[in-house]
Amino acid sequence: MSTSYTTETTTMVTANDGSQQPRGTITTTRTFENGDQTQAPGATIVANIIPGQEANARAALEAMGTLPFNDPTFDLEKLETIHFARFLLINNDTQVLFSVIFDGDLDKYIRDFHDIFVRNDVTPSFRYCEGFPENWKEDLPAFTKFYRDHMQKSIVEYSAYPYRSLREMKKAVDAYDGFSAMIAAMQ
Amino acid sequence: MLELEDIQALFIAPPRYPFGRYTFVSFDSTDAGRAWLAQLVNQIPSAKVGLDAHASGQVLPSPVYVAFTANGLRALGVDDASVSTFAEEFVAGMPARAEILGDTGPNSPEHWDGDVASDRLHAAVLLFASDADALTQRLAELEAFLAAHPGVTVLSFIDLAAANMSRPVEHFGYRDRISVVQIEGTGLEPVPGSFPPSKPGEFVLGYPDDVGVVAALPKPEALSRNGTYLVYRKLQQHVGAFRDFLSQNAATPDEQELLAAKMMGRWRSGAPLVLAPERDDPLLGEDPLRNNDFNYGQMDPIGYAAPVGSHIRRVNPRDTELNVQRHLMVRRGLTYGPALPEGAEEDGVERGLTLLAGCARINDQFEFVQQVWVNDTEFMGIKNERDPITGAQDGTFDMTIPKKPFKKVIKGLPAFTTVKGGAYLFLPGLRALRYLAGIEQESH
Repeated sequence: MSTSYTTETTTMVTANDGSQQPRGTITTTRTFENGDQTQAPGATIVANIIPGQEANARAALEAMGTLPFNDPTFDLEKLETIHFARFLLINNDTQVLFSVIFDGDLDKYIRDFHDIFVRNDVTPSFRYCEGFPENWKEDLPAFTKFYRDHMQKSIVEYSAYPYRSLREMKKAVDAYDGFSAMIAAMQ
Repeated sequence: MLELEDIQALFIAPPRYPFGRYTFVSFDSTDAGRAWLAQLVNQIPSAKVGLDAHASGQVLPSPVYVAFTANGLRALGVDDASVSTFAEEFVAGMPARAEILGDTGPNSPEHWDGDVASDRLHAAVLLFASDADALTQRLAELEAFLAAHPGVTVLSFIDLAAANMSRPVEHFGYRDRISVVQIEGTGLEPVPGSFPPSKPGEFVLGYPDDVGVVAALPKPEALSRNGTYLVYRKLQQHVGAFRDFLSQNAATPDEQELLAAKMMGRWRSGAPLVLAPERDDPLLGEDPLRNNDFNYGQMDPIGYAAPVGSHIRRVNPRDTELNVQRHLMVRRGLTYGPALPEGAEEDGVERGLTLLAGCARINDQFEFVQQVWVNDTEFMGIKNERDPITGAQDGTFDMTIPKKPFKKVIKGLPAFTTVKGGAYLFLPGLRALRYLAGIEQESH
């Protein structure tokens, strides 16, 4: 299924007599082809912190924040499916909220996320939340169940570039940056 | 560390069988099933026996293995609470996963052969033979055994035979068994260019996996330890349609071979396109020390040699995806049906290949490869394409062949394969088989 929006812009030019004259019309059509995804696919997880463990939950998030996220050799960068992610404590530090926008099926990628925690020796903040499995490293099905059970469904989603995968966006940005650099070098 | 005497040899000993038969059975009662299994278990070779034979240059002439569906475990008396600790996909059964796997339309379980989609499928007996004489003898023994156990119903069986006795090929003519996954602790080394041997926990339950974790065992441990999930798939191959496609989209025989190569990622000789991008190299294709020694990220990032959406690149992206080694599976399998002679018209005779894939995590090995790599219509950012050979094709998907100056796009690929059967099974260790059969165990 696709949705198209067409805009027409008339460019103006200043004539010798000082008046504005139409120069030409540019027609732009933007088409959004969607598969089965919503506009901003991903997941939002909300979990209750075990009373008394707020400081540990915060510390776990801060420790995770020291990972080399944008290093191209880091697992997360190599995975190339996560567009955006945010981890917060909400409601007076009684809950952890995690929201992520990524391409693909959470069920299929959850093991890759699990691996990132295990390989980098990082404790998920959910470890300090109610219902999180004690043996989260060994019991992947229980780890997955926790995410499924704590998922909140979005009511409205918006993206400025809907249905574009991260890989496409990265290629587009690289092409743009490369082209701009080339033009600059030609000046 | 690997308890080789307890693991069934199927996925450990190297594959080398031109003949086989898979027999699908149903237990009429728990007692009947246990009595049947109690006798069968003595026939099953352990991985130690298989590897010892291999080490002395021999092959077990006619091994037999057995695996069970979730319904089969229940039929043998395993309680629901225990069965539910096994992988959710296994418990649901492959037919219930049809949407995820792309098994819709002609691939849908309602069209599958041999009753394998039915709830009554309890077990599969997998028999292999190294030559026609061994096969004849073993089949006679198997049939006598089955006849002696009337409380176990044979739902169906499928006879397997190599498509060509002199070269390991499948029915489209591609050389097979090139990329073989090896397991640490077996003493078998992978060929150059392959990933290093995988940690045993990637395939056998109860061992450390690639991240060093020993995943929690399903209950009871006596049943699950040293077992492997076995994914069975039966793919019918439409050889006439495949050959027609080649001749309709390429003018000369050489161009047809190139097109076939672009779809697979290897020439039919087995030579990888990355190492032989323009001309076939049959000697390379046959040489295990060279035919797997390549990568994509460094050697062919754009896919000018092997298109990014080609089959072998989808099922094993090598160095262009994260954690590929976590998605690998050990594979065995054989073709079925007579070969269609070169130049002959499609004769409507059923032929194809069967896959037996071993994994510790069905969701993220078999199903991941199927859903995220083979069938994803945005794999690696390529739009509207699926695996040209094994993807669920319905005539609406394309294939892009990167080329200079302009890429070539073939539109509307027909389906060359149809899924005609499948099941999620569990291949228990030998102690576990005795446990299932209700045989008294020695205490450890």
